Amino acid sequence: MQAATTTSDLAIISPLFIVCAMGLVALLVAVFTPKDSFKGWLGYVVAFGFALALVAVVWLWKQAPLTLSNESLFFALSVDHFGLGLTAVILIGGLLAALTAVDYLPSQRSDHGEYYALVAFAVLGMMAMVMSADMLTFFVALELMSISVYVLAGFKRQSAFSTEAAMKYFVTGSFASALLLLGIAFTYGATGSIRFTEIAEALASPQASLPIAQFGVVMLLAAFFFKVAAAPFHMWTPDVYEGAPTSVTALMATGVKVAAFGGFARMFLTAFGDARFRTGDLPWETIIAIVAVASMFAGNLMALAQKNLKRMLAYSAIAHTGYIMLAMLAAPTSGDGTVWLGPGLIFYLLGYTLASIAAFGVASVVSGNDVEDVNEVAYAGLAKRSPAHALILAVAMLSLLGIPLTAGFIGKLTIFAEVLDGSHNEYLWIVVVAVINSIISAFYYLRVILVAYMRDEAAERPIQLVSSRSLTLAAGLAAFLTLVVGLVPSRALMASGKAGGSLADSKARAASTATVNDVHTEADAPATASAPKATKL
Amino acid sequence: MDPNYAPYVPVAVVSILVVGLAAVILLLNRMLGPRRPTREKGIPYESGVDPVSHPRRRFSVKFYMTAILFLVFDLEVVFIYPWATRFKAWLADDAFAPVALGSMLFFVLVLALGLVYEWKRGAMNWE
Amino acid sequence: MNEVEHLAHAAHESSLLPWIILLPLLGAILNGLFGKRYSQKTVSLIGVGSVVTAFVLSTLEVIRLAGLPEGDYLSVDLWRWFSAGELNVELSFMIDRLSAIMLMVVTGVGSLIHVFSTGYMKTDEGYARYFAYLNLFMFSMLLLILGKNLLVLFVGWEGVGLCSYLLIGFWFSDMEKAEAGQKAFITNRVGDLAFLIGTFILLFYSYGSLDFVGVGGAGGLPQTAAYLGDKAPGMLTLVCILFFIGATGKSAQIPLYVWLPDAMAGPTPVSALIHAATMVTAGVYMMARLNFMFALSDVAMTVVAVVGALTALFAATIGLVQNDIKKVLAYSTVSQIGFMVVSVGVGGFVGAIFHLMTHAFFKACLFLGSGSVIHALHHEQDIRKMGGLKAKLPVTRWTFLISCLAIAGIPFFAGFFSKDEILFFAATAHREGSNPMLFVYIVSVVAALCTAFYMFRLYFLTFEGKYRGDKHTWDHAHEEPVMNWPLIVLAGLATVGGFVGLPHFLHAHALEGWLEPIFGWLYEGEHAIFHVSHSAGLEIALMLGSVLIALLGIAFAWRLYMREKLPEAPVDAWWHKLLMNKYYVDEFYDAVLVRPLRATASFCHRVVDVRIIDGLFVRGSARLVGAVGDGLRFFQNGDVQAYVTAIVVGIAAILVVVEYLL
Repeated sequence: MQAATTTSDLAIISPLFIVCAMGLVALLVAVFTPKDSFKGWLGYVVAFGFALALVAVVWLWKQAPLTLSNESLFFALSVDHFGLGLTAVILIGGLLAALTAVDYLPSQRSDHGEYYALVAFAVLGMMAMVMSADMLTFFVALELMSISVYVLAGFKRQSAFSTEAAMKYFVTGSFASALLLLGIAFTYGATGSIRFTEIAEALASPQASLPIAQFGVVMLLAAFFFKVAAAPFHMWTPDVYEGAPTSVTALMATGVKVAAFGGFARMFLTAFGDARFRTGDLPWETIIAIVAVASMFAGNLMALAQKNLKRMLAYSAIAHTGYIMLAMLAAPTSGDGTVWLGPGLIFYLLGYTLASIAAFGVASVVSGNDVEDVNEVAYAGLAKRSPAHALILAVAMLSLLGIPLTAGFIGKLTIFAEVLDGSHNEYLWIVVVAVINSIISAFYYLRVILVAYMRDEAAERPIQLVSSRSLTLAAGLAAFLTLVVGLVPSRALMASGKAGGSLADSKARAASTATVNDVHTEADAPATASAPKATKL
Repeated sequence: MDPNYAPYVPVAVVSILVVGLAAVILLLNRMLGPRRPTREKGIPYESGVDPVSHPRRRFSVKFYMTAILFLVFDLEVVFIYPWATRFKAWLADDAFAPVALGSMLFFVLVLALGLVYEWKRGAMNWE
Repeated sequence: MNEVEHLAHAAHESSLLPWIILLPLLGAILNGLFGKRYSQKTVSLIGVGSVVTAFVLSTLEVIRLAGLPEGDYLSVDLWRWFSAGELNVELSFMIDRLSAIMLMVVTGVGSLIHVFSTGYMKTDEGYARYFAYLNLFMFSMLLLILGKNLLVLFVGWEGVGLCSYLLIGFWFSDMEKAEAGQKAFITNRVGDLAFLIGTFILLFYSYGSLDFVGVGGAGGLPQTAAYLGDKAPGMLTLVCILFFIGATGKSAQIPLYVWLPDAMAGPTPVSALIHAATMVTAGVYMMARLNFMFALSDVAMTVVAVVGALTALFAATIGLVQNDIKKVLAYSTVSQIGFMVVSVGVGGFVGAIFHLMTHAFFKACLFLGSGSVIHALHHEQDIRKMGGLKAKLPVTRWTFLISCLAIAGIPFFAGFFSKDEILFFAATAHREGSNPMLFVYIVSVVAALCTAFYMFRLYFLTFEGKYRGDKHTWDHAHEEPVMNWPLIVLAGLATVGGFVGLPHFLHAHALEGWLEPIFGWLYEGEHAIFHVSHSAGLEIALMLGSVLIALLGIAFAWRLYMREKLPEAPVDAWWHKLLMNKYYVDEFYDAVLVRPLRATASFCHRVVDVRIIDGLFVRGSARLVGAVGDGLRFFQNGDVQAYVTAIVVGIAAILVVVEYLL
């Protein structure tokens, strides 16, 4: 076997193991401790697990790209900078989201240990998703994540609101999963492979059945659009974001979105990355451009009308999906068809994750005494009642809006510059649309600050704040990091660039795939994973 | 015809056969069988849960717990069976044998922990 | 790239520079976080002290700069902010001869206004918060003027907008004032849109940096501008116009000036600092900073000059009939910045900076004076209820009068020199092979006439004649000693500040000499772009003309308002209505921009969501799949069906697009 790595397979997938183990521990603790005891400490345990996994990821990052020596793992997971970088973002999001739940859940009378187990499993799914190198791993990872989140969304069982959100999410989500499977099936039909790199090779050959692949890609796109909540596949988002417990919404806005963007970006750029497909026979780039514009407008215009903070953030999430999708346009391609990404996508996801955690963290704080409708009354005059939380909220809003010195600004700037550079100004119109949209968004983001700082109605109907050190810590840390990353973004940008660039290695990986296969056929080693040579139809 | 679609011809033939057969059977049934309809006979699943009922009706979640348990263990067999058939061959490869055993043990461990959880939560109690 | 070599100068490391910027930030943080616990004295000490120290440090640095070889500048690179592709953006600052002037004006006038504020805000409960915001504003403004590249400038640009928003809405208990803040911010964002798009285009053509000065004359924006001017003049014009739109937002020019009059809702010292002396001139500063770009585009410069002239006249006419003391000053500010923009447009960059400086002195003095009046009269702002205040507020009266003379352009006050320089340029500056823009000159002269009139109308109605308010207020009216000092200093500057720029025929234009390394290439040497008349006779003639105009305006005002009784306003005249309602521009914007946007939002909500999705899809599909729907209705009245329907419709649309349209 080639690729003489010194790191053993077990070490390479250790982040996955750590998170999985934490989930199992949480599950057992949940069932072996008295039912009504305080379960928040499990949040710290799981957060510690995420931190440990994060350390492992950083350690692996330094040695990446890593090659798994076990063949079945080799084909299933690519532990490159791209996967590790996004995993790090997911873990940061997961860690902070887990901390927001510690005291929030008791305030919602839903303090069950299973929560943290499910969070760990969801994060496990997300991590596997951004590392997956074939369609089946991708699908299993996505389902692991989705099913965990379906349950989490309905975690506040006594609330019809929350249950309804879970049910809606489940039904629409299953539909999207079915579409994804259909897409996988059709792509397999057209190419005879489930591995991203082999699909790319098969599609490049003249015998490839393009109409079938085309239909498959459309299905995959639909599933992608659903998972990242892009218009017109976004309709579930506001209901679910609003109904789910806020700490779950935080996880959905960050982890799920990062995983979906990471996983699908890898899939599309590796398997369907050839310029011929992106703008030619399978014009997914054009489709993404249209959908991105639709999402920006749908999200921003609808957000204008919202009074409920969570619902507003849901629409804002839709709008941000639009911005992030731009990063997938005009991905740079070299002469031999190798495609990679600039730093924009991953950096933006990092900035968005931090700002979202901060925003949802404050939204959790202001839903004490079991408030479900986080409307303006809930945070009016927050600056007087709790200046720290008001400041966190303000930072989050400014970053989402994209004001300089916040991570959101650098993210937008990087993505826009990337799109212009990559398309040689061909996509100038879409950047203009995006900037116009970010101006529209000023209306509703600033209104939040306005209400938090300049209104004073809550005195009449005081809403108890959830007093929680962990929650404040998580939101405060997120806000602080938002500023740090906005002020000194070069390291994060460099890492994101490295991560995005590592997608280009997929070609090299494909080459090594061939070697691995050859070695095995020659040596007549026991076939571990069924590795059918692409059977062209 | 587009040669690309050639492999799907058998699929199409089977589909037509299946649908046709079902239709023929239903048709024959209707033509030949005696019909003495009662309410019980009219429902899709005799002696099962009534599929159409008031949406707010309560029903025991136990049915579903048991069904899910059954499903899980059923599927487990799907994994273990092919693994078992190949295991002897894998044992020959010193490098791979521990991986083969280890991954299955891990799978069973996770499953077992799930079982412990369910047991403790009371999914097995049918009072 | 020969054309940009003249901009190559050596940089000198400056260790004091970061502190100039950081001190106000530090003040903001201290007062913002712990201000509630400090005594008012400590808050003042931190708030005022940080800015005054920054002023002292700035002075030291500017003195050092003056000692350097001509054209060299001080700079400091803190760290690489970020790099994307070939582009490297450093967080770096510089003091060159242009930013030095801004630096002195901003920290100097800023210090005075901070001192004034300690008196004005004495009784306000948000004292610490006020100083925190004010310091934060100083920080952003310093970022803006000291930024070495376009992106650092933009950071400050956004920052001042944000602080302005916070300060306008400072008395937030009044929702209308909070709304005014939001209006300011969002109008500015429209300008920022253009600014950003311009930046993106420059990014695309950039040579790896967006610095205002290139290393050895190469690599920075000057080279980009030269390249564009050479290869893609159309793109250059587009970029210039985009940046100019950005400037119209910040510097309150047509069509984005509407926020400034509303911004008067903030505390008066804020109006003096932000909306008269510093922030609103940022657009002019930015265009002067980018002179190497603007100068190359004839079309853009013409647009700039015409818009500036129209704004100057337009705002001045509105100012004629306003009755709120601060509104008059607000429109006057819009109008005066119009003059500066005219100056940029006709190539008189020195004149623009000169007027920017003198305007900072006399307008800050006017605003602070009005603040003094408002403070004395318990927040009365209507000049119809004032009059005869010279007896009660002597210092304010004299300083106000001096500033009025300065703004009207009476020799030898500051405004006289700077305004004449602008008018002189408007009348004579031209490019090779084209004529001076006489239209711009004439419009500007009419605006100058209006300026003299409304300023003295304001002065007469406020300080002369008889008091028209209630007696109680009159008895309690008094001046605050701490507020007088800044007035006196500013009035002094408004008196003598003009002598740095004596008329050209005297050959003693100190400011022009100082700015020679930056703007000199525009007028001299082989690449000169603008040609100005050197005739002393013409200059003197123009000067006499504008003095006459100013005197005429004052005389009119004297005739109408220097009397005991308030003259009846011709309220029914169509022109009066038009002016009172500010040409109905707000209403126009409301109808054309704001309402459609709101309507779209509610349309989406009501029609698309409720009608089409719920009505058409939900109810339509409910009938279609009625039997299945029975089962699904369990969770929520069929909404989910709409969601899934939307997904299906989306897929169908994509398929149609893929199959048939592409």
